Amino acid sequence: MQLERISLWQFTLIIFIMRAVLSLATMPMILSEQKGGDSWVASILFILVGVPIALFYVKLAERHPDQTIFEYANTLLGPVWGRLVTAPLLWGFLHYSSVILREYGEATVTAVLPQTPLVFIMGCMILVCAVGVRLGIEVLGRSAELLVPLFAVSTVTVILLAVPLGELAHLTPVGVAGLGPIIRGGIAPSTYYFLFAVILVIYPSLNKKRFAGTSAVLASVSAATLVGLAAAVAVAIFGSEEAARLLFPFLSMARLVQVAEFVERIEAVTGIAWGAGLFLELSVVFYAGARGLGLWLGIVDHRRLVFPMGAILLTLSLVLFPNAFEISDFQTAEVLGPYGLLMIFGPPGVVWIASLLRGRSKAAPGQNGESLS
Amino acid sequence: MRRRLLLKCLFTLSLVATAALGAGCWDRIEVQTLAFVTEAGIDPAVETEENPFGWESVELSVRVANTASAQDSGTGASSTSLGALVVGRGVSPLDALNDIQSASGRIIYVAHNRAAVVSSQLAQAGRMTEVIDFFDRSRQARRSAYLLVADGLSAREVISLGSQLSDQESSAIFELARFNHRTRGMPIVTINDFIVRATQEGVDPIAIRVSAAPMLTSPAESGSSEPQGGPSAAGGRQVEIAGAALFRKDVLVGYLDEDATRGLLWARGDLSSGSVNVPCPAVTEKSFGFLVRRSSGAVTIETDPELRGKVTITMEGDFVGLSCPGGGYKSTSQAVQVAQERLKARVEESVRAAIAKSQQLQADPFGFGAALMRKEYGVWRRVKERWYDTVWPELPVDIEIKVDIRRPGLVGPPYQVDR
Amino acid sequence: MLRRLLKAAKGRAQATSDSGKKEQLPPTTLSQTLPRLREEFGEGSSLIVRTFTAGANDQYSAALAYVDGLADRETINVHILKSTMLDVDTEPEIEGSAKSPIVEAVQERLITASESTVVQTWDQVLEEISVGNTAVFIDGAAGAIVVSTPGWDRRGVQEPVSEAVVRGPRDGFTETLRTNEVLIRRRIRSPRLRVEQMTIGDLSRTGIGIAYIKGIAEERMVDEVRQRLKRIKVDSILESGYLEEYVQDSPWSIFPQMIRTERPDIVSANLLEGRVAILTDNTPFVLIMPITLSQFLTSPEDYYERFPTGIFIRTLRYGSLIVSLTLPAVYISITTFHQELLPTDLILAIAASRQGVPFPALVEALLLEILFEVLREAGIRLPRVIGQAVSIVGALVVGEAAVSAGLVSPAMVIVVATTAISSFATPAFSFAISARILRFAFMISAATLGLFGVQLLGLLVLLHLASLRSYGIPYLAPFAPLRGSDLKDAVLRFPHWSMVTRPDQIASQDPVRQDRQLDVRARPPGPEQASRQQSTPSDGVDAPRGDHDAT
Repeated sequence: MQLERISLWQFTLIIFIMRAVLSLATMPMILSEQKGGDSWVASILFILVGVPIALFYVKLAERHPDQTIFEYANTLLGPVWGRLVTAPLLWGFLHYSSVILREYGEATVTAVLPQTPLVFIMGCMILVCAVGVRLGIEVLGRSAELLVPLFAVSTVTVILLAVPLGELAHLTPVGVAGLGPIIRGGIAPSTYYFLFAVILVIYPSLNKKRFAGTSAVLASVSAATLVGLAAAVAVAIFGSEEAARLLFPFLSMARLVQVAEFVERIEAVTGIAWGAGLFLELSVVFYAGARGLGLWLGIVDHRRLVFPMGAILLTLSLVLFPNAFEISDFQTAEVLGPYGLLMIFGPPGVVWIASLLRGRSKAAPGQNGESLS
Repeated sequence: MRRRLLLKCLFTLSLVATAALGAGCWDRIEVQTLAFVTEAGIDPAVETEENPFGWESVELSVRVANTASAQDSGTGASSTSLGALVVGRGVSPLDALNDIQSASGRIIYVAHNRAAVVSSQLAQAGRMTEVIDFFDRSRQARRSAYLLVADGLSAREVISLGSQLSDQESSAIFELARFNHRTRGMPIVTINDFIVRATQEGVDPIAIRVSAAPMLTSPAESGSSEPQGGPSAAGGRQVEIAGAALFRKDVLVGYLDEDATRGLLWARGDLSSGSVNVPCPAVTEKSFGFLVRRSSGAVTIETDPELRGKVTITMEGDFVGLSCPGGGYKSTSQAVQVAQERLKARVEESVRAAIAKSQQLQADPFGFGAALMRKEYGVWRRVKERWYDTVWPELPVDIEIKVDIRRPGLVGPPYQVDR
Repeated sequence: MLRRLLKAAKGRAQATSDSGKKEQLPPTTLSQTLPRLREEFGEGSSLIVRTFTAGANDQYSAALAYVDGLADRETINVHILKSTMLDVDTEPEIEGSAKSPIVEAVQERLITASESTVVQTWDQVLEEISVGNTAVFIDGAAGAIVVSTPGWDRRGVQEPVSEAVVRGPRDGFTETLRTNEVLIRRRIRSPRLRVEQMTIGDLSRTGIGIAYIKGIAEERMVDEVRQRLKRIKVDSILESGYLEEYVQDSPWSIFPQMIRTERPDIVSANLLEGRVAILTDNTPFVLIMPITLSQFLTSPEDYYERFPTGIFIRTLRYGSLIVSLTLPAVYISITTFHQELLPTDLILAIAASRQGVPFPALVEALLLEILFEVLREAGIRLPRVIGQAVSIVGALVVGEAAVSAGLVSPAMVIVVATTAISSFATPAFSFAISARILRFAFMISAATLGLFGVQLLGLLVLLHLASLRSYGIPYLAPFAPLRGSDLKDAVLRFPHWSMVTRPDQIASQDPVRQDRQLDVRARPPGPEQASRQQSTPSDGVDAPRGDHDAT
């Protein structure tokens, strides 16, 4: 199978969307714990959290530039231990993507299509994602080049249109409750940085690997900035107490926007932008999972795994939570915190240690040589 | 390769087919089967024979837009394009809505509700939570609808009387409030504004006060445009926006009159339009009008040496009416200076009235408390408990106003006639 | 099924051509040759056979044969008959020798037509006669002289009907391959312009020309085109559309992966950017490849009018493409799913206009859309005068009556009409038609899941577009993958002087199309710029022309 190639720009956009889409969904997590102006401070603080995580993954990938983690883990640790170590990673991709899918389904059912069965909405979405995954990372990368700008532009537009509704006074006071709540509120959303682990799978496809670290950091920072901005505007509009009560602050914000008595009710823009971004994110995580599983099982062509895996994913996201309340229970610092931390650093950390002990892969012939696999 | 593509096509086709043929259209509602609610009013239900125990405690009156108007239905069409007023009862507004639905052939759809009128009895009784939740939780209802408190008449009457105002707009009450805001400096308060202020510390919400006034138009004229009978026809009254309803958190405590309302809005910086009439310097029975073009206001608080509020207002605008006798001044600019002083005094008067009234009612719509919280959180925490009881009612407030009269309009002084 | 049929046809075609393939043309007498020839062409054919004596002193008896109507009689009369019968009296007699047989000697010395060859097999003789050439047989000699005499009634160069422009050349391709080549050569007067000839179709023997500019078009690309064309084994190619289906990258895609045009200026412009064109005999439509989506939304006028116009019109076109694809779908989703999305007064107006309409919005939209498509189809096939009548009856009478009868709502009529107009704003018909087909899919998905469905289908279409390639070039370039320099000629049309490079990946052999050292922008004459005025602009204008001549 010919190795697919994505450009650095596409890579950047993919990393961007990994953070940006989810944060709009997880905004309530940040906002709910905060008081006064702390919420936007918290959002800005978590811009920084993404940077070391992104760098951690890129640095690990750079040690073995032509292989995915599922390949070099086997080389470094042996086929059995390698598979044991990378299995949690596979589970992570599956689990996180089913949580994302469920959140998307819940949001759609709540805000747009209350009568439509959840399974149908999620099924349609996962079907489209599966088609994307079958077409490969190259096609997903190209789609990203159209979808991410669409997402970014419409999100920024909504934010800008909402700015006049806000009151600057709502952004103060800052830090009255101490640092505790700020950090506490940030733990759960930060665990979603696990999604950056897709770097470990898509890095070998990168055609120019030189600035991968820089662009991952840039993407992470700009995405978090966008989210911080959205959170700040939401707090400015609703005040911290009310913003914490809203389940979809960004959607509520868009519903309020009114410009010149004609540009109003623009939540469709948000919905479509969010859906497009989420599709991309889900597809890339799904791709990482499917490709990882293929390598893990030793199946060369991961594409035949896509539809079965999609079915599992759909089922999983249905059975994970009996209702919408359980999702917010799951997304608390106590539950998601340790779990997410383990997922982010656990398996890759072990592989990195092994890599330190056994040495890095030999550099491939040529600057962007073909994969050794 | 080909087979794969074929497979993909089949998948897409089967998706579309299952979706279209199966029970796919779960949420599909044809637009003509909807009854669009454009105004909603909530009253406490009165005890009647059918409702002896007051069990059905809420009465919901909605105006349903008349979507049949564009179709020339020929006979029997109502003369107005404003729709019918429908009333339902229930234990909660939602229950009352179901009551309305049970008597309606179309699906009641509240996503286009533009004005929510709440009876003052409900607001005084602290039952705003019910009202707000009704407009807040449902995915249909919008927080951008205006929130009005009916003073001196029921919400149902407000909606009923509103129909005399205009037969073109989808929501007459909405338009009434909007134009009153633009021209007379009356407040605009959306449900969202109310919620945000009510949930915030140190600031209290207001709502638009709507009350009844004797009708100015001749009965003959209004009679023709009166669509339905009921209590409104006899009264010879019309609705008007008359200032703001003042809440302490979510309990209605009183009203601000129009003058004080403008003072409040200027102080908060919520009003950048409107006109002010000021008595002339020499002849008080004559006046000049000042049209506000730009205005900003800020509420701040000093903590040192003692708590002291401060309101800063900057205004800019033009003359609109000027009937003052022109004599006595050396130049026009001197006259303008005098006028500015008068204007300043006039605005300050309004603000003072607003402050006095709200201190008396122990409600803080200015947000002095919030200003304190933002400035000195520690001090706020100390005074928070007794803010409404002792601190706010006795808070001294300084008012600083800057007024600029920029342009005289198209003519200079009023014309002079030698008698 | 279809494939099997095709295969069978192919087999049969091969069988017939195999029979007379290698039969040598023996030295025979005319009395044997001519009946055989008549037999091959069948009774009552338009084959014309004339016997005559050629050479000084009527040295040889000879015969010529051609198909009436395909060959140019004037050429035959002057350059074969006259030159061999009359103008030979001063010539010495012709001697055949072993080295130079008599046939070749006649061809060299007597035939005055500019193009003639000697052929040795029956097969070749028959083929040459079939394409309009004339065969000359000499009694007792082996082989035949084939004189190129094609000449038939052909359409002159006319204005292309399907691609009219306000500003720009008015000539269009004709049905003759040679004429079409000439039309391109007149625009690109360089020997680097290559038109490789080949023949496809066992029965139709259709002439195909692969046009490209050597040194600009990538060899790999030209080779790929050649290979794909060579793979075609079919009995006939009647139009370039036949070829298109054989050589496109994704045969199942709904989107066209080649541009077809009857405008020589479009072909020339594309050749100059390193693309390859396939000219097909008997059709004015030329195929261009590889292409990207953005080219379907390009009209030659974008380049002829000044660039602000180009930018404005193109932006409009992209907008109207989106409108024509999704407007009915969005209307259906908003009126049946998301009534909260429109401003109150607008949705009330729509609700009022739909009162009493008996159909659901989807059915109403489908009815009107299908009606419109039928109208369009009916209007095209009919003569222009009647076509107008059809559109008047269809649009005005039926539309108006349907609205006043309350069968459809006026709002839907507006939506469908807007969509129709928008779809006409796409210059490439082939692309507009795929958008039209997709529109129905969008409408159905909108009626199923509202905007959510529209979005899902949109994502599927996007994925498909992103996976498409035309001869290896991503369909969505230069947007995805992003090619910065090519964005100058995508949604926007930058000024000509700023488009320094040819499209990336397509013309990577010779990427620079103008000398970026020379600033060719005109400047207002000013004292301090006088010296510059003298040297640069004139150089700049001359440079490209000089370049062409030199190479």
